[in-house]
Amino acid sequence: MATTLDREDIIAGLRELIAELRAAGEVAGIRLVGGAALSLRYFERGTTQDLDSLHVQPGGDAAVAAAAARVAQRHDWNPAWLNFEVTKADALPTLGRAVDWDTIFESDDITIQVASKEALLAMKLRANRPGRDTRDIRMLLSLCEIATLHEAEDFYEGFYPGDGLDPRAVAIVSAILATGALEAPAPPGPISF
Amino acid sequence: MPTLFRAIFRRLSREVKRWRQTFQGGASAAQHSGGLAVTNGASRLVHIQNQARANGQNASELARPYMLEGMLARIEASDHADDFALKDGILPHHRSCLVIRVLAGFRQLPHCSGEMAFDYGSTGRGFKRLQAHQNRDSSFILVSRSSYVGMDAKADGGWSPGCAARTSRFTSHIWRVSYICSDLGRGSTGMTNASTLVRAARKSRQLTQEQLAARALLDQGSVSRSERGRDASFETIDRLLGGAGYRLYSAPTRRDDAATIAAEIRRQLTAGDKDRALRALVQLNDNLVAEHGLVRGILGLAEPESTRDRVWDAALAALVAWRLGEEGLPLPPWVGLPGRFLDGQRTLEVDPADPLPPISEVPDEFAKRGVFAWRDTFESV
Repeated sequence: MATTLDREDIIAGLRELIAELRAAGEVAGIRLVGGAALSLRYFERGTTQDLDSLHVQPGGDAAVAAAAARVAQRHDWNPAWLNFEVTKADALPTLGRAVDWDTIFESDDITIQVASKEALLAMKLRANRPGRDTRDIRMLLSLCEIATLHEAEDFYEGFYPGDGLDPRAVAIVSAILATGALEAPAPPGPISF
Repeated sequence: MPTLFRAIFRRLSREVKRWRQTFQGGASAAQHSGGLAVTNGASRLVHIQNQARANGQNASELARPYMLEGMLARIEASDHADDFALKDGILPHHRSCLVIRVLAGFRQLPHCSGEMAFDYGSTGRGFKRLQAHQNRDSSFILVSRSSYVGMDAKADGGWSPGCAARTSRFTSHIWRVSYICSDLGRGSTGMTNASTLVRAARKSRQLTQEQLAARALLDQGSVSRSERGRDASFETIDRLLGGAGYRLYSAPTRRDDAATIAAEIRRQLTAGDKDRALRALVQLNDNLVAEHGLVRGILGLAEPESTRDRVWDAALAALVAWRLGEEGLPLPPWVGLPGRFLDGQRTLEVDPADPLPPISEVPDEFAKRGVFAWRDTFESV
Protein backbone atom coordinates (compact mmCIF):
# COMPACT_ATOMS: atom_id res chain seq x y z
CA MET A 1 0.00 0.00 0.00
CA ALA A 2 1.38 3.39 -0.94
CA THR A 3 1.27 5.24 2.34
CA THR A 4 3.42 8.24 1.54
CA LEU A 5 2.21 10.98 -0.72
CA ASP A 6 4.23 13.49 -2.65
CA ARG A 7 2.94 16.73 -4.13
CA GLU A 8 1.70 15.15 -7.33
CA ASP A 9 -0.14 12.48 -5.37
CA ILE A 10 -1.73 15.13 -3.18
CA ILE A 11 -2.91 17.19 -6.14
CA ALA A 12 -4.19 14.13 -7.98
CA GLY A 13 -5.93 12.91 -4.83
CA LEU A 14 -7.62 16.24 -4.23
CA ARG A 15 -8.66 16.44 -7.87
CA GLU A 16 -10.35 13.09 -7.60
CA LEU A 17 -11.82 14.03 -4.24
CA ILE A 18 -13.45 17.06 -5.84
CA ALA A 19 -14.89 14.83 -8.58
CA GLU A 20 -16.19 12.35 -6.03
CA LEU A 21 -17.83 15.05 -3.93
CA ARG A 22 -19.46 16.58 -6.97
CA ALA A 23 -20.71 13.21 -8.16
CA ALA A 24 -22.27 12.72 -4.74
CA GLY A 25 -23.80 16.21 -4.80
CA GLU A 26 -21.90 17.28 -1.70
CA VAL A 27 -20.94 20.79 -0.61
CA ALA A 28 -17.59 20.97 1.16
CA GLY A 29 -15.20 23.52 2.59
CA ILE A 30 -11.88 21.80 3.22
CA ARG A 31 -9.05 23.46 5.13
CA LEU A 32 -5.62 21.89 5.12
CA VAL A 33 -2.70 22.35 7.50
CA GLY A 34 0.54 20.45 8.07
CA GLY A 35 2.93 18.97 5.56
CA ALA A 36 0.41 18.77 2.74
CA ALA A 37 -0.35 22.49 3.02
CA LEU A 38 3.37 23.29 2.98
CA SER A 39 4.00 21.12 -0.04
CA LEU A 40 1.02 22.41 -2.00
CA ARG A 41 1.52 26.11 -1.43
CA TYR A 42 4.90 27.04 -0.03
CA PHE A 43 7.92 24.89 -0.87
CA GLU A 44 9.22 21.57 -2.12
CA ARG A 45 9.17 19.02 0.61
CA GLY A 46 9.56 15.32 1.15
CA THR A 47 6.60 13.05 1.17
CA THR A 48 3.84 13.33 3.70
CA GLN A 49 1.92 10.48 5.25
CA ASP A 50 -1.47 12.10 5.13
CA LEU A 51 -3.41 15.32 4.67
CA ASP A 52 -4.38 17.05 7.90
CA SER A 53 -7.77 18.64 7.48
CA LEU A 54 -9.84 20.70 9.87
CA HIS A 55 -13.52 19.90 10.23
CA VAL A 56 -15.31 20.48 6.96
CA GLN A 57 -17.30 23.69 6.93
CA PRO A 58 -19.71 23.95 5.17
CA GLY A 59 -20.55 20.29 4.66
CA GLY A 60 -19.70 17.33 6.83
CA ASP A 61 -16.60 15.34 7.70
CA ALA A 62 -18.37 12.05 7.00
CA ALA A 63 -19.11 12.86 3.37
CA VAL A 64 -15.54 14.01 2.73
CA ALA A 65 -14.08 10.99 4.54
CA ALA A 66 -16.27 8.66 2.48
CA ALA A 67 -15.23 10.33 -0.78
CA ALA A 68 -11.57 10.22 0.32
CA ALA A 69 -11.91 6.51 1.09
CA ARG A 70 -13.14 5.89 -2.46
CA VAL A 71 -10.13 7.74 -3.85
CA ALA A 72 -7.87 5.70 -1.55
CA GLN A 73 -9.36 2.46 -2.74
CA ARG A 74 -8.56 3.30 -6.35
CA HIS A 75 -4.95 4.12 -5.59
CA ASP A 76 -4.34 1.56 -2.86
CA TRP A 77 -3.63 4.40 -0.43
CA ASN A 78 -4.18 4.45 3.27
CA PRO A 79 -7.95 4.98 3.68
CA ALA A 80 -7.15 7.78 6.15
CA TRP A 81 -4.96 9.67 3.71
CA LEU A 82 -7.16 12.71 4.39
CA ASN A 83 -8.18 12.83 8.02
CA PHE A 84 -9.31 15.15 10.78
CA GLU A 85 -6.98 13.98 13.55
CA VAL A 86 -5.26 17.36 13.73
CA THR A 87 -8.40 18.91 15.18
CA LYS A 88 -8.03 16.67 18.24
CA ALA A 89 -4.46 17.74 18.85
CA ASP A 90 -5.29 21.31 19.81
CA ALA A 91 -2.49 22.47 17.54
CA LEU A 92 -4.43 25.09 15.59
CA PRO A 93 -4.06 28.53 17.14
CA THR A 94 -7.46 29.73 18.29
CA LEU A 95 -6.94 32.26 21.05
CA GLY A 96 -4.56 34.76 19.53
CA ARG A 97 -3.85 36.09 16.09
CA ALA A 98 -6.44 34.91 13.57
CA VAL A 99 -5.38 32.24 11.11
CA ASP A 100 -5.59 33.40 7.50
CA TRP A 101 -6.49 30.95 4.77
CA ASP A 102 -5.29 30.86 1.22
CA THR A 103 -7.82 29.52 -1.27
CA ILE A 104 -6.30 27.07 -3.75
CA PHE A 105 -9.56 25.85 -5.26
CA GLU A 106 -12.98 27.40 -5.35
CA SER A 107 -16.18 26.53 -7.14
CA ASP A 108 -19.85 26.96 -6.28
CA ASP A 109 -19.93 23.86 -4.14
CA ILE A 110 -16.39 23.06 -3.09
CA THR A 111 -13.59 25.14 -1.61
CA ILE A 112 -10.11 24.02 -0.61
CA GLN A 113 -7.91 26.29 1.45
CA VAL A 114 -4.50 26.00 3.06
CA ALA A 115 -3.40 27.81 6.22
CA SER A 116 -1.19 30.87 5.89
CA LYS A 117 2.55 30.40 6.17
CA GLU A 118 2.45 32.32 9.43
CA ALA A 119 -0.07 29.94 10.99
CA LEU A 120 1.87 26.95 9.72
CA LEU A 121 5.08 28.29 11.26
CA ALA A 122 3.32 28.83 14.57
CA MET A 123 2.08 25.22 14.49
CA LYS A 124 5.49 23.87 13.53
CA LEU A 125 7.13 25.83 16.34
CA ARG A 126 4.60 24.31 18.71
CA ALA A 127 5.37 20.77 17.51
CA ASN A 128 9.17 21.31 17.14
CA ARG A 129 9.90 17.61 16.60
CA PRO A 130 13.61 17.32 15.77
CA GLY A 131 14.30 15.90 12.35
CA ARG A 132 10.65 16.00 11.45
CA ASP A 133 9.89 19.72 11.77
CA THR A 134 13.31 21.37 11.70
CA ARG A 135 13.58 21.85 7.95
CA ASP A 136 10.01 23.14 7.76
CA ILE A 137 10.77 25.65 10.51
CA ARG A 138 13.86 26.82 8.64
CA MET A 139 11.91 27.38 5.42
CA LEU A 140 9.01 29.08 7.15
CA LEU A 141 11.27 31.39 9.16
CA SER A 142 12.64 32.55 5.85
CA LEU A 143 9.23 32.95 4.21
CA CYS A 144 7.89 34.85 7.22
CA GLU A 145 11.04 36.99 7.29
CA ILE A 146 11.86 36.27 10.91
CA ALA A 147 15.52 36.95 11.51
CA THR A 148 16.00 36.88 15.29
CA LEU A 149 14.98 34.67 18.18
CA HIS A 150 13.25 37.65 19.77
CA GLU A 151 11.09 38.10 16.67
CA ALA A 152 10.29 34.39 16.70
CA GLU A 153 9.21 34.52 20.33
CA ASP A 154 6.98 37.56 19.74
CA PHE A 155 5.56 35.93 16.63
CA TYR A 156 4.74 32.73 18.51
CA GLU A 157 3.11 34.50 21.39
CA GLY A 158 0.94 36.39 18.92
CA PHE A 159 -0.68 33.09 17.93
CA TYR A 160 -0.57 31.45 21.34
CA PRO A 161 -1.03 34.25 23.89
CA GLY A 162 0.53 33.47 27.24
CA ASP A 163 2.66 30.65 25.84
CA GLY A 164 6.38 30.95 25.34
CA LEU A 165 8.45 29.00 22.89
CA ASP A 166 9.38 25.57 24.20
CA PRO A 167 13.09 25.41 25.12
CA ARG A 168 13.60 22.82 22.38
CA ALA A 169 12.01 25.17 19.83
CA VAL A 170 14.32 27.91 21.09
CA ALA A 171 17.28 25.62 20.52
CA ILE A 172 16.14 24.79 17.00
CA VAL A 173 15.41 28.39 16.03
CA SER A 174 18.70 29.58 17.53
CA ALA A 175 20.66 26.93 15.65
CA ILE A 176 18.92 27.78 12.39
CA LEU A 177 19.44 31.53 12.74
CA ALA A 178 23.05 31.04 13.79
CA THR A 179 23.85 29.90 10.26
CA GLY A 180 23.28 33.43 8.95
CA ALA A 181 20.77 34.85 6.53
CA LEU A 182 18.25 32.28 5.43
CA GLU A 183 17.72 31.56 1.79
CA ALA A 184 14.12 31.76 0.66
CA PRO A 185 12.88 28.42 -0.69
CA ALA A 186 11.82 28.24 -4.30
CA PRO A 187 8.05 28.28 -4.64
CA PRO A 188 6.50 25.00 -5.73
CA GLY A 189 4.80 24.66 -9.08
CA PRO A 190 1.27 25.87 -9.76
CA ILE A 191 -1.70 23.95 -8.46
CA SER A 192 -4.17 22.91 -11.08
CA PHE A 193 -7.29 20.97 -10.25
CA MET B 1 -9.46 -16.46 -13.00
CA PRO B 2 -5.83 -17.51 -12.46
CA THR B 3 -6.01 -19.70 -15.54
CA LEU B 4 -7.37 -16.84 -17.60
CA PHE B 5 -4.62 -14.50 -16.51
CA ARG B 6 -1.88 -17.00 -16.93
CA ALA B 7 -3.06 -17.58 -20.45
CA ILE B 8 -3.17 -13.89 -21.23
CA PHE B 9 0.17 -13.05 -19.75
CA ARG B 10 1.96 -16.03 -21.18
CA ARG B 11 0.76 -14.83 -24.53
CA LEU B 12 1.80 -11.26 -23.86
CA SER B 13 5.17 -12.34 -22.63
CA ARG B 14 5.73 -14.44 -25.74
CA GLU B 15 4.69 -11.59 -27.98
CA VAL B 16 7.00 -9.12 -26.29
CA LYS B 17 9.90 -11.52 -26.46
CA ARG B 18 9.21 -12.24 -30.10
CA TRP B 19 9.11 -8.57 -30.89
CA ARG B 20 12.31 -7.99 -28.98
CA GLN B 21 14.05 -10.69 -30.93
CA THR B 22 12.79 -9.12 -34.11
CA PHE B 23 13.86 -5.69 -33.03
CA GLN B 24 17.28 -6.69 -31.82
CA GLY B 25 18.07 -9.67 -33.96
CA GLY B 26 16.77 -8.59 -37.32
CA ALA B 27 14.30 -11.36 -37.99
CA SER B 28 12.30 -10.32 -40.97
CA ALA B 29 8.89 -10.35 -39.42
CA ALA B 30 6.91 -11.30 -36.41
CA GLN B 31 4.59 -13.81 -37.89
CA HIS B 32 0.98 -14.32 -37.25
CA SER B 33 0.41 -16.39 -34.17
CA GLY B 34 -2.65 -17.59 -32.34
CA GLY B 35 -5.04 -15.33 -34.19
CA LEU B 36 -2.98 -12.21 -33.48
CA ALA B 37 -2.09 -9.54 -35.97
CA VAL B 38 0.90 -9.85 -38.28
CA THR B 39 3.55 -7.18 -37.75
CA ASN B 40 6.65 -6.63 -39.79
CA GLY B 41 9.28 -6.11 -37.16
CA ALA B 42 12.08 -5.08 -39.49
CA SER B 43 10.08 -2.36 -41.20
CA ARG B 44 8.86 -1.10 -37.84
CA LEU B 45 12.44 -0.98 -36.67
CA VAL B 46 13.39 1.18 -39.64
CA HIS B 47 10.35 3.33 -39.04
CA ILE B 48 11.28 3.79 -35.39
CA GLN B 49 14.87 4.66 -36.22
CA ASN B 50 13.80 7.16 -38.88
CA GLN B 51 11.27 8.67 -36.54
CA ALA B 52 13.90 8.98 -33.81
CA ARG B 53 16.39 10.61 -36.17
CA ALA B 54 13.81 13.04 -37.48
CA ASN B 55 12.79 14.14 -34.01
CA GLY B 56 16.19 13.96 -32.38
CA GLN B 57 14.95 11.23 -30.05
CA ASN B 58 16.42 8.03 -28.75
CA ALA B 59 15.24 5.02 -30.78
CA SER B 60 14.90 2.84 -27.70
CA GLU B 61 12.73 5.50 -26.11
CA LEU B 62 10.41 5.29 -29.08
CA ALA B 63 10.55 1.52 -29.16
CA ARG B 64 9.27 1.21 -25.65
CA PRO B 65 5.81 2.63 -26.23
CA TYR B 66 5.66 0.71 -29.48
CA MET B 67 6.09 -2.50 -27.56
CA LEU B 68 3.43 -1.48 -25.10
CA GLU B 69 1.13 -0.57 -27.89
CA GLY B 70 1.80 -3.90 -29.48
CA MET B 71 0.72 -5.65 -26.34
CA LEU B 72 -2.48 -3.66 -26.26
CA ALA B 73 -3.16 -4.39 -29.90
CA ARG B 74 -2.74 -8.08 -29.26
CA ILE B 75 -5.06 -7.97 -26.29
CA GLU B 76 -7.57 -6.23 -28.50
CA ALA B 77 -7.20 -8.91 -31.14
CA SER B 78 -7.44 -11.75 -28.69
CA ASP B 79 -10.45 -13.56 -27.31
CA HIS B 80 -9.83 -11.81 -24.01
CA ALA B 81 -10.34 -8.27 -25.25
CA ASP B 82 -13.45 -7.78 -23.19
CA ASP B 83 -11.57 -8.60 -20.04
CA PHE B 84 -9.50 -5.46 -20.30
CA ALA B 85 -10.27 -1.79 -19.95
CA LEU B 86 -8.43 1.48 -19.87
CA LYS B 87 -9.20 3.34 -16.73
CA ASP B 88 -8.56 6.34 -14.53
CA GLY B 89 -7.43 9.28 -16.62
CA ILE B 90 -5.32 11.82 -14.79
CA LEU B 91 -3.99 14.91 -16.45
CA PRO B 92 -1.00 16.28 -14.57
CA HIS B 93 -0.92 20.02 -15.04
CA HIS B 94 2.81 20.14 -15.51
CA ARG B 95 2.87 17.76 -18.45
CA SER B 96 0.89 17.83 -21.60
CA CYS B 97 0.16 14.20 -21.32
CA LEU B 98 -2.56 11.89 -20.35
CA VAL B 99 -1.95 9.18 -17.83
CA ILE B 100 -4.00 6.15 -18.52
CA ARG B 101 -4.33 3.24 -16.23
CA VAL B 102 -5.05 -0.07 -17.78
CA LEU B 103 -6.50 -2.48 -15.33
CA ALA B 104 -6.41 -6.07 -16.33
CA GLY B 105 -9.54 -7.98 -15.52
CA PHE B 106 -10.81 -5.36 -13.17
CA ARG B 107 -13.45 -7.51 -11.59
CA GLN B 108 -10.94 -10.02 -10.33
CA LEU B 109 -8.23 -7.50 -9.59
CA PRO B 110 -8.23 -7.73 -5.80
CA HIS B 111 -7.33 -11.40 -6.01
CA CYS B 112 -4.93 -11.57 -8.88
CA SER B 113 -1.79 -9.74 -7.81
CA GLY B 114 0.16 -12.94 -7.24
CA GLU B 115 -0.78 -14.29 -10.61
CA MET B 116 0.17 -11.39 -12.82
CA ALA B 117 3.74 -12.33 -13.48
CA PHE B 118 5.68 -10.83 -16.35
CA ASP B 119 9.09 -11.54 -17.64
CA TYR B 120 10.23 -8.66 -19.76
CA GLY B 121 13.87 -9.50 -19.39
CA SER B 122 15.97 -6.63 -20.59
CA THR B 123 13.28 -4.77 -22.44
CA GLY B 124 14.38 -1.48 -21.04
CA ARG B 125 13.87 1.02 -18.30
CA GLY B 126 10.26 1.69 -19.12
CA PHE B 127 9.20 -1.88 -18.76
CA LYS B 128 11.06 -2.16 -15.53
CA ARG B 129 9.04 0.72 -14.24
CA LEU B 130 5.91 -0.77 -15.64
CA GLN B 131 6.72 -4.03 -14.02
CA ALA B 132 7.53 -2.36 -10.75
CA HIS B 133 4.24 -0.56 -10.79
CA GLN B 134 2.44 -3.69 -11.79
CA ASN B 135 3.94 -5.41 -8.79
CA ARG B 136 2.57 -2.68 -6.61
CA ASP B 137 -1.05 -2.71 -7.56
CA SER B 138 -1.50 -5.01 -10.50
CA SER B 139 -2.11 -2.30 -13.03
CA PHE B 140 -0.52 -0.57 -15.98
CA ILE B 141 -0.13 3.09 -16.57
CA LEU B 142 0.55 4.39 -20.05
CA VAL B 143 1.06 7.92 -21.14
CA SER B 144 -0.10 9.56 -24.29
CA ARG B 145 0.62 13.13 -25.19
CA SER B 146 -2.41 13.69 -27.30
CA SER B 147 -4.76 10.78 -27.48
CA TYR B 148 -7.69 10.81 -25.17
CA VAL B 149 -9.17 7.49 -24.28
CA GLY B 150 -12.67 7.76 -22.98
CA MET B 151 -12.95 6.58 -19.46
CA ASP B 152 -14.71 7.35 -16.30
CA ALA B 153 -14.62 6.19 -12.76
CA LYS B 154 -17.85 5.62 -11.01
CA ALA B 155 -18.42 6.99 -7.56
CA ASP B 156 -18.28 3.52 -6.05
CA GLY B 157 -14.75 3.02 -7.30
CA GLY B 158 -15.72 0.85 -10.24
CA TRP B 159 -15.59 1.76 -13.85
CA SER B 160 -18.30 2.54 -16.31
CA PRO B 161 -18.34 -0.05 -19.08
CA GLY B 162 -19.91 2.47 -21.42
CA CYS B 163 -16.89 4.69 -21.08
CA ALA B 164 -14.21 2.07 -20.84
CA ALA B 165 -12.22 2.32 -24.00
CA ARG B 166 -11.09 -0.65 -26.00
CA THR B 167 -7.51 -0.76 -27.05
CA SER B 168 -8.38 -0.13 -30.68
CA ARG B 169 -8.87 3.54 -29.91
CA PHE B 170 -5.42 3.56 -28.52
CA THR B 171 -3.71 1.83 -31.38
CA SER B 172 -4.66 4.60 -33.75
CA HIS B 173 -2.26 6.81 -31.88
CA ILE B 174 0.73 4.57 -31.98
CA TRP B 175 3.31 7.30 -32.55
CA ARG B 176 1.74 9.65 -30.12
CA VAL B 177 2.25 7.33 -27.21
CA SER B 178 5.46 8.99 -26.32
CA TYR B 179 6.78 7.51 -23.18
CA ILE B 180 5.94 5.60 -20.10
CA CYS B 181 5.22 7.92 -17.25
CA SER B 182 8.60 8.94 -15.92
CA ASP B 183 7.56 8.81 -12.32
CA LEU B 184 6.26 5.28 -12.24
CA GLY B 185 9.29 4.27 -10.29
CA ARG B 186 8.85 6.80 -7.53
CA GLY B 187 7.07 6.24 -4.28
CA SER B 188 8.68 2.95 -3.76
CA THR B 189 7.98 3.23 -0.07
CA GLY B 190 4.63 1.93 -1.01
CA MET B 191 5.91 -0.89 -3.09
CA THR B 192 6.26 -4.30 -1.57
CA ASN B 193 8.77 -5.34 -4.11
CA ALA B 194 9.57 -8.95 -4.85
CA SER B 195 13.15 -7.98 -5.60
CA THR B 196 13.46 -6.46 -2.14
CA LEU B 197 12.20 -9.67 -0.58
CA VAL B 198 14.65 -11.84 -2.47
CA ARG B 199 17.63 -9.63 -1.83
CA ALA B 200 16.84 -9.18 1.86
CA ALA B 201 16.31 -12.94 2.27
CA ARG B 202 19.61 -13.73 0.56
CA LYS B 203 21.54 -11.16 2.58
CA SER B 204 20.00 -12.35 5.83
CA ARG B 205 21.51 -15.81 5.13
CA GLN B 206 24.79 -14.27 4.00
CA LEU B 207 24.55 -16.01 0.66
CA THR B 208 26.11 -14.88 -2.59
CA GLN B 209 23.97 -14.82 -5.69
CA GLU B 210 25.80 -17.91 -6.92
CA GLN B 211 25.14 -19.77 -3.69
CA LEU B 212 21.47 -18.91 -3.71
CA ALA B 213 21.20 -19.90 -7.37
CA ALA B 214 22.73 -23.29 -6.57
CA ARG B 215 20.30 -23.86 -3.71
CA ALA B 216 17.32 -22.86 -5.85
CA LEU B 217 18.54 -24.89 -8.82
CA LEU B 218 18.56 -21.78 -10.97
CA ASP B 219 21.34 -19.92 -12.71
CA GLN B 220 22.99 -16.88 -11.17
CA GLY B 221 21.42 -14.70 -13.85
CA SER B 222 17.96 -15.54 -12.52
CA VAL B 223 18.95 -14.32 -9.08
CA SER B 224 20.39 -11.15 -10.53
CA ARG B 225 17.34 -10.48 -12.70
CA SER B 226 14.99 -11.05 -9.78
CA GLU B 227 16.93 -8.74 -7.50
CA ARG B 228 16.89 -6.06 -10.16
CA GLY B 229 13.14 -6.40 -10.60
CA ARG B 230 13.40 -7.92 -14.05
CA ASP B 231 11.92 -11.27 -13.20
CA ALA B 232 9.02 -11.17 -10.81
CA SER B 233 7.36 -14.41 -11.80
CA PHE B 234 5.85 -16.12 -8.82
CA GLU B 235 7.65 -19.38 -9.52
CA THR B 236 11.08 -17.75 -9.64
CA ILE B 237 10.52 -15.64 -6.55
CA ASP B 238 9.16 -18.61 -4.66
CA ARG B 239 12.12 -20.80 -5.59
CA LEU B 240 14.64 -18.14 -4.69
CA LEU B 241 13.00 -17.43 -1.36
CA GLY B 242 12.85 -21.16 -0.79
CA GLY B 243 16.57 -21.39 -1.48
CA ALA B 244 17.18 -18.87 1.29
CA GLY B 245 14.87 -20.70 3.65
CA TYR B 246 11.94 -18.36 3.29
CA ARG B 247 8.40 -18.87 2.17
CA LEU B 248 5.74 -16.41 1.05
CA TYR B 249 2.63 -16.10 3.15
CA SER B 250 -0.17 -13.65 2.85
CA ALA B 251 -1.02 -11.35 5.74
CA PRO B 252 -4.17 -9.31 6.31
CA THR B 253 -2.48 -5.94 5.83
CA ARG B 254 -1.41 -3.76 2.95
CA ARG B 255 1.15 -1.83 4.99
CA ASP B 256 4.84 -2.05 4.17
CA ASP B 257 7.06 -4.08 6.45
CA ALA B 258 10.47 -3.23 7.87
CA ALA B 259 12.34 -4.87 4.99
CA THR B 260 10.49 -2.80 2.40
CA ILE B 261 10.92 0.44 4.33
CA ALA B 262 14.61 -0.33 4.85
CA ALA B 263 15.05 -0.56 1.10
CA GLU B 264 13.47 2.88 0.75
CA ILE B 265 15.69 4.31 3.50
CA ARG B 266 18.74 2.88 1.79
CA ARG B 267 17.64 4.47 -1.48
CA GLN B 268 17.15 7.86 0.14
CA LEU B 269 20.45 7.69 2.03
CA THR B 270 22.22 6.81 -1.19
CA ALA B 271 20.62 9.89 -2.74
CA GLY B 272 21.82 11.95 0.25
CA ASP B 273 18.30 12.76 1.38
CA LYS B 274 18.11 12.12 5.13
CA ASP B 275 14.92 14.12 5.38
CA ARG B 276 13.08 11.60 3.21
CA ALA B 277 14.91 8.72 4.90
CA LEU B 278 13.50 9.89 8.23
CA ARG B 279 10.02 10.18 6.76
CA ALA B 280 10.31 6.58 5.63
CA LEU B 281 11.35 5.55 9.13
CA VAL B 282 8.40 7.48 10.56
CA GLN B 283 6.22 5.70 8.03
CA LEU B 284 7.39 2.34 9.38
CA ASN B 285 6.54 3.59 12.86
CA ASP B 286 3.05 4.57 11.73
CA ASN B 287 2.59 1.23 9.97
CA LEU B 288 3.58 -0.68 13.09
CA VAL B 289 1.39 1.44 15.35
CA ALA B 290 -1.59 1.03 13.03
CA GLU B 291 -1.49 -2.75 13.32
CA HIS B 292 -1.88 -4.89 16.40
CA GLY B 293 -0.98 -8.33 17.62
CA LEU B 294 0.46 -10.81 15.19
CA VAL B 295 0.02 -8.54 12.21
CA ARG B 296 2.25 -5.93 13.82
CA GLY B 297 4.76 -8.67 14.48
CA ILE B 298 4.68 -9.74 10.85
CA LEU B 299 5.65 -6.24 9.74
CA GLY B 300 8.88 -6.63 11.69
CA LEU B 301 9.56 -10.29 11.03
CA ALA B 302 11.75 -10.39 7.91
CA GLU B 303 15.29 -9.13 8.42
CA PRO B 304 15.84 -5.98 6.38
CA GLU B 305 18.87 -5.65 4.22
CA SER B 306 21.45 -3.19 5.56
CA THR B 307 20.88 0.45 4.68
CA ARG B 308 24.69 0.74 4.47
CA ASP B 309 24.55 3.10 7.43
CA ARG B 310 24.96 1.51 10.85
CA VAL B 311 23.03 4.27 12.62
CA TRP B 312 19.97 3.72 10.45
CA ASP B 313 20.33 -0.06 10.68
CA ALA B 314 20.28 0.27 14.45
CA ALA B 315 17.36 2.71 14.29
CA LEU B 316 15.30 0.25 12.25
CA ALA B 317 15.93 -2.49 14.80
CA ALA B 318 15.18 -0.12 17.67
CA LEU B 319 11.89 0.96 16.16
CA VAL B 320 10.73 -2.60 15.52
CA ALA B 321 11.82 -3.71 19.00
CA TRP B 322 10.07 -0.70 20.57
CA ARG B 323 6.76 -1.13 18.81
CA LEU B 324 6.62 -4.92 19.02
CA GLY B 325 7.63 -4.76 22.67
CA GLU B 326 4.73 -2.42 23.35
CA GLU B 327 2.37 -5.24 22.51
CA GLY B 328 4.34 -7.90 24.33
CA LEU B 329 5.22 -9.58 21.06
CA PRO B 330 8.32 -11.77 20.71
CA LEU B 331 11.10 -9.97 18.90
CA PRO B 332 12.56 -11.25 15.64
CA PRO B 333 16.20 -12.35 16.09
CA TRP B 334 17.59 -9.76 13.68
CA VAL B 335 16.83 -6.82 15.99
CA GLY B 336 19.31 -8.25 18.48
CA LEU B 337 22.20 -8.89 16.11
CA PRO B 338 25.48 -7.07 16.88
CA GLY B 339 25.21 -5.06 13.66
CA ARG B 340 22.06 -3.46 15.06
CA PHE B 341 23.90 -1.88 18.02
CA LEU B 342 26.30 1.06 17.89
CA ASP B 343 29.51 1.26 19.88
CA GLY B 344 28.90 4.82 20.96
CA GLN B 345 26.03 7.30 20.87
CA ARG B 346 24.96 8.77 17.57
CA THR B 347 22.03 10.74 16.21
CA LEU B 348 20.34 10.29 12.85
CA GLU B 349 21.89 13.62 11.79
CA VAL B 350 18.90 14.64 9.72
CA ASP B 351 19.32 18.38 10.25
CA PRO B 352 22.27 20.19 11.79
CA ALA B 353 19.88 22.33 13.83
CA ASP B 354 18.37 19.31 15.58
CA PRO B 355 19.16 19.41 19.31
CA LEU B 356 20.57 16.35 21.08
CA PRO B 357 17.94 14.65 23.24
CA PRO B 358 18.42 13.98 26.93
CA ILE B 359 18.37 10.26 27.70
CA SER B 360 14.95 10.61 29.30
CA GLU B 361 13.48 11.59 25.90
CA VAL B 362 15.01 8.67 24.01
CA PRO B 363 12.94 5.47 23.74
CA ASP B 364 14.67 2.66 25.63
CA GLU B 365 15.23 0.47 22.58
CA PHE B 366 16.92 3.38 20.80
CA ALA B 367 19.07 4.25 23.82
CA LYS B 368 20.07 0.60 24.20
CA ARG B 369 21.37 0.62 20.62
CA GLY B 370 23.11 3.99 20.92
CA VAL B 371 20.73 5.85 18.60
CA PHE B 372 19.76 9.14 20.15
CA ALA B 373 16.41 10.02 18.62
CA TRP B 374 13.65 12.00 20.26
CA ARG B 375 10.60 9.98 21.28
CA ASP B 376 8.15 12.51 19.86
CA THR B 377 9.78 12.49 16.45
CA PHE B 378 7.70 9.35 16.05
CA GLU B 379 4.48 10.90 17.26
CA SER B 380 1.85 12.64 15.21
CA VAL B 381 0.89 16.14 16.30
